[in-house]
Amino acid sequence: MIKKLLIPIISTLMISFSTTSMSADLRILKLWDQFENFGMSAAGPAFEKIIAEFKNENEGVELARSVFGGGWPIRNAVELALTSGDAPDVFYTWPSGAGLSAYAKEGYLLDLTPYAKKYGWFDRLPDWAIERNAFEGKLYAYPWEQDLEYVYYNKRIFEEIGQKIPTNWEEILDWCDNARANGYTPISYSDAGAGWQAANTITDIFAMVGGRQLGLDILQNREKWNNPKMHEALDMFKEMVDHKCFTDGFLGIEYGEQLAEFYTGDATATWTGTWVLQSTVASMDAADLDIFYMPAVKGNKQSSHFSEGSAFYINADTKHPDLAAQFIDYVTQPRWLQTWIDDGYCLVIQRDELDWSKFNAPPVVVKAMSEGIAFQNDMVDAFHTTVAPNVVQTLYSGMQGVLSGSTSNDEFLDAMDAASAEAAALGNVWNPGDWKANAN
Amino acid sequence: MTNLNKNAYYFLFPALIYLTIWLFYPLFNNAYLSLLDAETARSRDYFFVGLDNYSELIRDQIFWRALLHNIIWVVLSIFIPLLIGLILAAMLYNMRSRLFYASIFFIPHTFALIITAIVWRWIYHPKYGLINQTLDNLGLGSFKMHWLGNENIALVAVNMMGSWSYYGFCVLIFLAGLQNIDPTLNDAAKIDGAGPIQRFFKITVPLLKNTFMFLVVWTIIGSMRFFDLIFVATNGTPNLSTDITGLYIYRLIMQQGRVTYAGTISVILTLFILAMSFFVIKNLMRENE
Repeated sequence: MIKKLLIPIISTLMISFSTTSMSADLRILKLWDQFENFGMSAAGPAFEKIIAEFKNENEGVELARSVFGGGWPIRNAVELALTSGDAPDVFYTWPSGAGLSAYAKEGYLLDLTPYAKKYGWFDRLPDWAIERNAFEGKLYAYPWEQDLEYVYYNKRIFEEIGQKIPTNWEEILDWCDNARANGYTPISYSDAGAGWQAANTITDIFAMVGGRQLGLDILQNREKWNNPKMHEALDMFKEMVDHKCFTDGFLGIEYGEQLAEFYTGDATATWTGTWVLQSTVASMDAADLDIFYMPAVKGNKQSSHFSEGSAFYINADTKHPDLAAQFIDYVTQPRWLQTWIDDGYCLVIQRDELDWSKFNAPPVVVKAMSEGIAFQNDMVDAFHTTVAPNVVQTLYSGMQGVLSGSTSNDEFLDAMDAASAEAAALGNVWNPGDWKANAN
Repeated sequence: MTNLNKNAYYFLFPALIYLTIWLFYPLFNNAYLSLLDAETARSRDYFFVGLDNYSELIRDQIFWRALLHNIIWVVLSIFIPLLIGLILAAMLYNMRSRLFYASIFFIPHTFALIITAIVWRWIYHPKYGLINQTLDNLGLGSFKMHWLGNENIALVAVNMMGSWSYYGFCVLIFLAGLQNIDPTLNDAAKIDGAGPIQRFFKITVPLLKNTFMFLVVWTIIGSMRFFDLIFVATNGTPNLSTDITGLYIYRLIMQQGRVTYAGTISVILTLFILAMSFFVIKNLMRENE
């Protein structure tokens, strides 16, 4: 009887032992990101290639990857996971500035400064990107995808209605009148759902008249929101609404509907950013699609808004901090730039200027990225990705009130100041600290 | 205690366990959370603050506005789908194929509210939507509106989505209620010369009070808890004109990390639902007596 059982017993023991050995060797890195193959941040094809290589080059490492919708879906998921103690090792999401500080202060994020020094990240990233992702002198995220906002326009329709690219504010308004007279929506637009679209647009318009330094002063609580340049920007935005520059009823239109209106040729243009380059190139005839940045207006420098679209973070409670940092370093190495840009149409944040002639992405992709980078030093940090979470809510709903006429500029801006003061009282402020001292 | 009574408790035990885990514990834990706060949002170091969260709530304009929207939703949901359900049920009651038609009316109720919201968003689209295009085709273009983009009408527009989903359920419930009415009462009234409308208001409606009470309470509870339809349809926009307490709680937790304050609102919401339900039941029971 015992002999009959001996072989099964020994086999079971051997399998258990080998499984245990395998488990001991296998390291699983849990990763959440937004790199889908469609929609926003659709750099999925590039990311999948890169992480496949990471697994090939790192035996014994498995990636347990979950992909979320870009924008608020991943941010909400990460919020819940962090506060319930169930966050992944690495996550790719988007609050920076004061938004990042809310997590860093509570100890949810791993200090990446030692890894940044080890892997040379401070030499790879421009100062503006480090500052957005540093808090009290420490780096807490590796910013990756650069967001730029500009106008995608339909060349065929522009030619049809005899429209040239506007070179000043008055020509922007004339373009709107011309498009309407020809039966087109001038700029397909939306602000339903969360309301971040208007938050981006007001940042753009403010950038056009207020400039980078004032933007920094407001976002870092050295200046109030209620200031003459914000008033001017709000008035300009309302002037565009009065000129019917945007989709009718845009406060009830969602982002997907905005894009659909442009893709189907019912609008001459749409004002949005690099995060839908992939979708836009895939949805339109290459001969019809082009981009331009809004011009310099009213005697000011040409400007727009920018930010990192999202950044890589490491959970402070991760059991694999070194592996997590190694993974981030791997996917952001310069050798993968071509893959990110050509396969993912993803504008990566780099300190050094890129030689755009080396990339094979469609011309409109290269143009969107290269033209924007040329004046990024004059750009303003995107309001909604930089301010504290409670300020974001005031920004979203307040902008809708201003655009609908139910809220005055003063009511909105005073509410922004109150929300910022509340955030400051909780310590949720954009405070990069002296990160340069820690970088050396 | 007789054996029969003891056995009854044994049979109740699993349900009690279930209710304790999924209802009583969360309820009381939530109430306890509402008495706590943290130095910063997202901190897990809570400390006792008594009624501070409640006094913050009193000054919170966003909460009061959201609550008002919930109450408006309750009123609209009582008057529209319930009344439509009642009228349709009364029309169907004497038809042989009443169950067939009732099933047709019930179909919208089988759709997930998310699907309902997505489809209705396109119906309401100011340019491509069925409503505005139909108005244009009928020469009534001046009546076109930005149904979901206009602060003054967006809440009613979204409520119509919910009413469309809900009225079929009301038809079924009223039909069931109508079948409990003794048909000889109607026959007697007919003989006495009462017309159909008289019989409907003097006999049918009074005898449907309990059915109505059930649906009113059900509507109140559902309306105060509403979330998914509005989240997908408008997410509280434009300018929080379609914001409701459920959405506000969601934003407080998911986007601002203010768990204890969200718990406070949940407690108030629960008490509000209980109070409204109690008021309705008590009044209708008094009338029954």
